[in-house]
Amino acid sequence: MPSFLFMKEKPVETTLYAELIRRGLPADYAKRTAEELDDHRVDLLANLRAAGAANPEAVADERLGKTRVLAKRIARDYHRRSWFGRWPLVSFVVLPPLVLATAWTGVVLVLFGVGKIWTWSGGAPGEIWSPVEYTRLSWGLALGVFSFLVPAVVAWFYGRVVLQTTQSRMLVLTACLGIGLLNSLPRHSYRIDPAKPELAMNLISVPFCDPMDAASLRQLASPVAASQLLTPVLIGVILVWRDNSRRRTSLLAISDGSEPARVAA
Amino acid sequence: MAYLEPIGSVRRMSTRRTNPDFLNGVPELVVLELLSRRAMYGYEIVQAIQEQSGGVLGFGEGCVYPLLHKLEERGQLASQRVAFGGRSRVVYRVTTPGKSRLAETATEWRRIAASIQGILQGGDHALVPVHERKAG
Repeated sequence: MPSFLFMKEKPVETTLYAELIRRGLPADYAKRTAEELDDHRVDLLANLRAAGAANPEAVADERLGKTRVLAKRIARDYHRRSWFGRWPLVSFVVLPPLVLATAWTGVVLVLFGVGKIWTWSGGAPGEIWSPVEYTRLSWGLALGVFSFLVPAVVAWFYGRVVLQTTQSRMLVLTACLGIGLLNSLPRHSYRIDPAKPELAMNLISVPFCDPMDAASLRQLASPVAASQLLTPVLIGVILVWRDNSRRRTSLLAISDGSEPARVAA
Repeated sequence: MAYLEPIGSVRRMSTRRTNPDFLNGVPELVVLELLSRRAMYGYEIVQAIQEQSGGVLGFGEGCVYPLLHKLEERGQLASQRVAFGGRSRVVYRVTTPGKSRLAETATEWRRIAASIQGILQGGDHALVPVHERKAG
């Protein structure tokens, strides 16, 4: 396996290239920037030699800037191109729970619309109270869709946006944790009316907010709530792992002297 | 100037009540102006800035490229790899939106420069406290 130490022996272009990849820039952009800077260095060296400068290599390096500093600034500028990159805390700490809440609302409206159409066409009972089996089924669907599917999809898309705009793996995990925390609050349950055991009702309760179903810290620590919290976080971990693999592949390709893999974030 | 900082926009300058950074937008202005005269590649741009500013505007030369890429992404510059004496260079030129942007930025810069010049020219008068001016 090639060692990254070899990169110290490589030309400046490759070193900067690797540094930009390491900072999460897309391979195409990193390659282009490194090539342009290499062209610049060649011109600069030629002019310095023509002018009889002492130690032109050192002067050229000084005028171009240190590779790490240069890479840091290039990466920063690249990330600041997008709104998300300019406002990372708002984008990835405040917004994710709001996006999840919006997604929930959207799903509710869609399901409500579907239910209305179904009822209108005579395919479903129109009453609030339903048979126990029907309620149990809809409870399972609600739990799966609201607590797992929707948060997982939101975390996946949001995490990808974070990676594409900031390349910050920490922000991916932060965003997914925010989604997970909000997702762990609502609890889906169904209740059978003791007076009418043939009937049941679906309930969605939020701790500390619902007088019908008094919440407790024990509820927050339940296995279901923990799963609700961990699902988006797990999605974030998968995204980070994929991003790490992508960067590692590109870096290995550079140290091998071959082209970097063109894998989207 | 240690580094060509990210540039602001004319809209930002004109709508904000305060303008904390007078150099906001200057690197963009300089690059657009130079490229409006003729297409150039990165090294030529850096040389032109240093020569035409009399060496006053100095910076890490590598830092001009993020700025060029950003302007290109905004559609204000276009680039093309062109062969030069057996080697190739990425040459940049200003597009029509870039020319419009240059006109806006130049107008704003002249306004700011004129206002600063006015302050500097009236410096002695400005140093006299208001109550003394009335007394005089």
